[in-house]
Formats: sequence, C-alpha cells, structure tokens
Amino acid sequence: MNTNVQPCPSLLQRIQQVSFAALELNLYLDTHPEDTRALEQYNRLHKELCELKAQFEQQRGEPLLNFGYGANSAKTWRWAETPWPWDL
Amino acid sequence: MKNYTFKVFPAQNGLDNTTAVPSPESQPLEEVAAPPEMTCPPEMTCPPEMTCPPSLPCPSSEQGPRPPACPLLPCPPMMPGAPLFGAPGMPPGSPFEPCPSPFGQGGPGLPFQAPVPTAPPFMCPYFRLAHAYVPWQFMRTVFSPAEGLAKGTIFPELYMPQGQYGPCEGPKPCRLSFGGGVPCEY
Repeated sequence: MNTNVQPCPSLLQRIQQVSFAALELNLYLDTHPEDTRALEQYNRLHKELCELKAQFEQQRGEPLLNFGYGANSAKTWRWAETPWPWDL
Repeated sequence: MKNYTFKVFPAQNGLDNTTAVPSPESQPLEEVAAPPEMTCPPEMTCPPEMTCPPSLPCPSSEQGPRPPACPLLPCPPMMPGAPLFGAPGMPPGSPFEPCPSPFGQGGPGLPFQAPVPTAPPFMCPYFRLAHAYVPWQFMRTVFSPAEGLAKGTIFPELYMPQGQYGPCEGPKPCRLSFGGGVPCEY
C-alpha cells in the first residue's frame, strides 16, 4: 500500500456512513417504492454523498476508486493504493 | 384402529396404482405389530376436529379426503401493531395483501383441494411448512448515518445486537434457558 497517500479519515468515514445509509434506504425503497419520506431521505443522502466525494477528490487529487465511485485513470487497477477499511 | 401397513411399490404390468399390490417380503397381517394409538404429549393439546363454517359447504366424499390434520397453528409472537398481512397502506396488488387460504382451490394444473375454513386477515393466518413469512416493515425513525454504520442498520426495528435476538444467541447460552447442552466459554 502506498503510504504516501494520506486519506482524510473523517471525510472517508463520513462517505462510508452516508453510503451505508443510502444503501439501506435503497433496499427499503425496493419494497416500499411509494414511501415519500424514505425517498426524501434517500435523495438528501445522495446529494450529501456527491458533495462528500467531490470534496474528497478535491483534497486528495484523485478519484475514489472502488465500486464505481470513480474512474481508474492509471493503466493498472489501483485499488490497493486506496484506503483500506481499517484505515478509515 | 385397523391393522394395516402400507408400502409403495412400482405398479406391475396390467395393474394401476390404485390396486393394492402385496409386498414380496410382506409379512402376514397377523404378525405385524399394531402401532400404538397416537396420543398428544401431555404438554400439548390435541387440535380440535375441524368443522365447516356455516358459510362453506362441507366437502363431499367425491371431492376427496379432507386434509389429514388441522393446519391452524398458534400465532407466533409479534410486535404489537405489526400485522403479518394486509396492513393499511400496502401497495395494491402486492404479495402482502390479505392472505388467501393456502388450502383453497388449486391453481392451474393443481388438483382441487377441499375448502377449509380460512383465517380472517390481521389475525392468525395459516402457516405452511417451508414457507417464509416476513412481517411488513414500516419506517419510523432512523438512526443517523454514523450510528447506522456502527449498528449495522439504520432501522431501529432491525437492530438486534447479540444477546438480544433470542434465548440461544449471544452471551447467554441455551442451557440457561432450556437446560442441558454443552457449556461454552465466553
């Protein structure tokens, strides 16, 4: 792992938290598609997640890689250079 | 009780499956020990004999035998106010609409079964073996994203930490509730 990469733990942690909450609401909405309150919360989390990702990428200078968060700009898959879960 | 035993054999040529075929190694009926009369264990009560409700005709003998046992089981423990089926606000046409009797008329290609009393919705539906029943979830308050990630769910009604899920789970071993078992070290 590239030790030069200094992730911002609080920002990454927040991304992980908001991603998880959005996933939970995603699964809930799969079976409750007309729950407007859940839809509002999901859209609010989506907006926050976009802002957090943009903020993270601006700070770090490279996109979040895993799970389609960002494009892999290098010629090799650079997942090992991204923060590990226990680095958050 | 009559002293019959049954065993399934492939139909022989010229015979249909409704004809009794003697087993090649069958013993004379007189030598077969009669099974004891079935009795309920003392801690259980025998289900009452099913009776037809006034609104439904009793199945006639031409429609085949009635189900062998009363399928009505006691209601499982539920959260108050959390019905299993047919709750208000469910999307129309969803699989969670009021539960039809699983023992009613068969679907396409299925043999007709004699009607039996159906349980009213919101009360105690019939349960069939190997069928999963999932109560409908109603979203109320949710945890914050930080608390949700720490707890593994954002829904408080789904938060079941170890030791609170059941008597045999978590730090409380089964033997404390039911006795016996192998002691574990925690």
